[in-house]
Amino acid sequence: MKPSPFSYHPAASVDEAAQLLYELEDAKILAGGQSLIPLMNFRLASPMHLIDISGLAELSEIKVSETEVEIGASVTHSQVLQSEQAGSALPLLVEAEKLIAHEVIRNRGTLCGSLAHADPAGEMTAVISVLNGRVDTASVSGGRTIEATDLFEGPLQSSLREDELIVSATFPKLGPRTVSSFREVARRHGDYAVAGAVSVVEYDNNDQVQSARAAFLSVGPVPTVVSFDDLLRGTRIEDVGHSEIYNFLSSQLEPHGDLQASADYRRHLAAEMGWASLEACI
Amino acid sequence: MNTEESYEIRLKVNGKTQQITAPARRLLSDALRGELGLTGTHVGCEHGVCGCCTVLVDGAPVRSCLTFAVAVQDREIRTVEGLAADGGELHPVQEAFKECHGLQCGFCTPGFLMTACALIEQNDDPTEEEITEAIAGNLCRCTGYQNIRAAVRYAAEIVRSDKT
Ligand SMILES: Cc1cc2nc3c(=O)[nH]c(=O)nc-3n(C[C@H](O)[C@H](O)[C@H](O)COP(=O)(O)OP(=O)(O)OC[C@H]3O[C@@H](n4cnc5c(N)ncnc54)[C@H](O)[C@@H]3O)c2cc1C
Ligand code: FES
Ligand code: FES
Repeated sequence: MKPSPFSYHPAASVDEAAQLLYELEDAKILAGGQSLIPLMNFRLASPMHLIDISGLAELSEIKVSETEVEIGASVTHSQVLQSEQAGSALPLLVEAEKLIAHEVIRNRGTLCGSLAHADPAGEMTAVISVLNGRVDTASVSGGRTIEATDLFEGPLQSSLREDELIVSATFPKLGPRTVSSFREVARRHGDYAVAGAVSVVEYDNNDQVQSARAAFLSVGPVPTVVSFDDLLRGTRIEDVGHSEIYNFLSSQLEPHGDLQASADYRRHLAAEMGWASLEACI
Repeated sequence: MNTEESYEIRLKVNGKTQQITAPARRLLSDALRGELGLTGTHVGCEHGVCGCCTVLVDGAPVRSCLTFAVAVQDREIRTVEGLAADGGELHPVQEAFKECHGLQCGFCTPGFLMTACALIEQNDDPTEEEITEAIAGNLCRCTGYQNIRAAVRYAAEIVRSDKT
């Protein structure tokens, strides 16, 4: 099918994009279009105005500081993958990006777009959640910072106001004794995951776990973060072992069933992926 | 009746700039096929999954069904029609698909050709894994993929031997 009619507004600046978003009725931001255009082609979305931010140079930067990696809202998935700076500062970003769709989609789709889209099957929603990252926004009434814990409200529902756009997403770097890993199951390589988990484990000076947590994708309306601190602090992952972790996760996760997987099968996959991603952090 | 707003859109396709008049909702795939008559770019699913609409924008493969024509003005667009030289001499990827039987019905072929073209322009000695990864986003219901992989491998070989 074809999209319904709309007016196209290429924004010349973030200020102009915010102004247009405020003034125009039923307007949406167009970034890479890799989630929005499929919805429009199927008439599941039919905005009257699209404000294109993909050409904005002021949003095209990847900034790496001592402690953080900041990705501008027009940076594509492919640009994140190609950035040696981002890859060496936070290898988890690259590991996750490789799991997102295929190169053709990554060439246009943006990292910030997948956060705004708030699909709980999107890898980046889990990454920003497990790292306690944040997004910065702009609007005519001023910008604000939204912590990852407050960003996702439901499937395809973020806490962004209608007159607000994301200008960048910021991911804290991991400390020297901290390890991360991403594991997921998809029907075919490049498809959205049926279930997946991304773990971050911090070790103390005796190589015992100081803290550990995982974010799960495709198991609930928003990315689900589970802390392993009570189970793992002061011990080693291998000493606690598969069955205890698996049982713990099975009791914590409340996935839904759909055409791809029943709720029970998805709980099983998610618990296995949770274990696999922790095991990879040993 | 509502009249829909039209846009004057400059499209630079295969080195030639043309102006079309179309609404903002015109997908690049439809602008190429409809307004410009370049029906080599095929349309299967219109949600980014099948890959037969793949074209190059500034050298990178993108889905033309997930791109609005109005949003890629003045960018370098290349389609399957731009592959063969003016005299009709086949491009290495076309030569290789022909030689290795990389197609049967041919519906998926334009997308595979453009994807393979982008790959070997970036890297004329791809590993087996890089070839598989590059074409993983394109679907073919006929060939079973083995001959397509062989064709991409052979296309890279032609490019390398042309250079020496
Ligand atoms: C075949 C296919 C497979 C895919 N597989 C995966 C996958 O496995 N994993 C995955 O994570 N994703 C996948 N995607 C989606 C892809 O990652 C998209 O790039 C991403 O979800 C959206 O980014 P975008 O820039 O294309 O956003 P758009 O499509 O332009 O926008 C999506 C939504 O976010 C809003 N938006 C975008 N940017 C902003 C902003 N800066 N501020 C406010 N609102 C904004 C838009 O208004 C719209 O509502 C797939 C897509 C396709 C077509
Ligand atoms: S028609 Fe564009 S990917 Fe199928
Ligand atoms: S040759 Fe028929 S779909 Fe590929």
